[in-house]
Amino acid sequence: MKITISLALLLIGLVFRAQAQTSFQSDYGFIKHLESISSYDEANLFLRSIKDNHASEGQQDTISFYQGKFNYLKKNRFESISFFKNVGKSNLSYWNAAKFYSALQFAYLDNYEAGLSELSLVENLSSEERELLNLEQAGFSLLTRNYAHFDQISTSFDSEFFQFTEHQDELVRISSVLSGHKSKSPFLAGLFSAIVPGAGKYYIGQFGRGTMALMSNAVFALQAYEGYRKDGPKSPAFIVFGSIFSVFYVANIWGSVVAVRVQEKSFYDTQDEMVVLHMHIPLRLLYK
Amino acid sequence: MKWLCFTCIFLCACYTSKAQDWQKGDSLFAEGKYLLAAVSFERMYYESLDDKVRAGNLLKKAFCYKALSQYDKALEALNRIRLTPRDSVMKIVSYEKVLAYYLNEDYQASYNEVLKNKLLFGPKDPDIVCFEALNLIAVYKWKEAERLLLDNEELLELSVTDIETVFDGNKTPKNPDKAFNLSMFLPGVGQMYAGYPFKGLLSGGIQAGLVGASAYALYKGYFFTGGLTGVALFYTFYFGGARYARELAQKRNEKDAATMSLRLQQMK
Repeated sequence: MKITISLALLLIGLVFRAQAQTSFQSDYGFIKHLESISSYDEANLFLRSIKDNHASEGQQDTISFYQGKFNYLKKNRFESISFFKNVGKSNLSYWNAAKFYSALQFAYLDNYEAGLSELSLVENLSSEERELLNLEQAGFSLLTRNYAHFDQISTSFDSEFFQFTEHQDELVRISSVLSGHKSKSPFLAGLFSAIVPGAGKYYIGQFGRGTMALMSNAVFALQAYEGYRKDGPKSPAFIVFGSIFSVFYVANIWGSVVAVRVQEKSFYDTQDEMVVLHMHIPLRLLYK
Repeated sequence: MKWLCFTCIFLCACYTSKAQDWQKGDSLFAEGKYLLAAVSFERMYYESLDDKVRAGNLLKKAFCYKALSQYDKALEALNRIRLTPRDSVMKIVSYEKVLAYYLNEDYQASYNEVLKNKLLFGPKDPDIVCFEALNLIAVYKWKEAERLLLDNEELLELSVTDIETVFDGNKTPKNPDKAFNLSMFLPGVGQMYAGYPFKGLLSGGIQAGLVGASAYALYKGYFFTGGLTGVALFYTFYFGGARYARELAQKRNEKDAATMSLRLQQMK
């Protein structure tokens, strides 16, 4: 009798497990459906609500992976990273994809060290994933301005993977732009603007702003001169226009110094955006 | 043996209750949990193979997003409904699209949907005619809106006096470019044309004062001060005033259209 009951319970357990599996497959199908119609908010809500229903490690990893992915697609970077962290090794393709996605999120957040550390955790990569890893590491080398390391990695770029070649070439091009870039000197820009107002802006290639600075300084200087010539050094006209000219003159010098810094930052930011873009597209192509 | 049966029943109940969690869209909607209800309807859409059932679920999903005032998402759901154009459900779908586009402030799309609705289901639906008029008002075609209302006064149960009250004698919107050009011709006139006479007088007065001050400075021999400061300030106020006149004309049109729409909605 006891054996019969035990067998019956085992059978029920197996049936229940099969049903749970079917239920998860149905949920999984629905998750993919929500992804296909780009309903990421609904997908996140659904995943949150089913998380307790599916207890197995593999199911939990799948749910965490998709929570990470949908948050990544919604550009919720921190949430995305925290969900990807929960993905275990029950399915290595999810594990590796989670690490690649997390590394990319860290690249967007300018936390390059954490990004590289995520990349170091990938395992048992396919040949395409290995090439992607190469490309991502090359991208991080550019972001950290480690050109020697980039050159070392880029020599091993494999042109066999057609979806990566364009991005590999772009990274090589950006590397040459970055390494060949000559920075402008804020001191020289300030000095030139002190000698001739606006000249600092000409020095960094901002001809319109330089001309505007030159004209506004000239106007106030002429007005101050007119006040001085007609009414003397104690006249209100001279004091007002002389003060305005002085403020504009000093501000223009400081403005030239700041403009150099802004321009430099803008140059590096633009290049970094391009680098991250060329790290991003191959990742999306591989894990679409 | 009885114990075994109870266990089976318990386990089956557990399983089926979980499976039914996503079949409760209507009750979730009634509880005000609109986003959860939307997911539930999407799940029912996903699990069904019947086009009518799928359409019904997408329609209910659109209601959820309408309740959340997320009209773009409501439209996404409505635009996924695939039924034959003359199906009775499509009449409701079409009305909901007209409404959602209107609430989403996409008046041209709402108007296009109105035209499609009239073509498929006939021109005598008072709600649709009312939306047609509201859309025409919103895109500043006020004469056409008035003509439409007058042509359908019986259908809409409105009197000629009611219709005249809606427009209050205002049938032509202000032309922003005309306001700009008028202010370029004579500062301040554009603002007056847009319906803001005091702002026009202020703008014109400031600019006349600047011209006067510049002329006085030049007369006194302050060529740089009078010429450069006066010209710079006048230039700024002159073009700034003209651009402001254009903005005021647009603002006036928006205000008038909102007032007309409100009057019509209150009557209906």
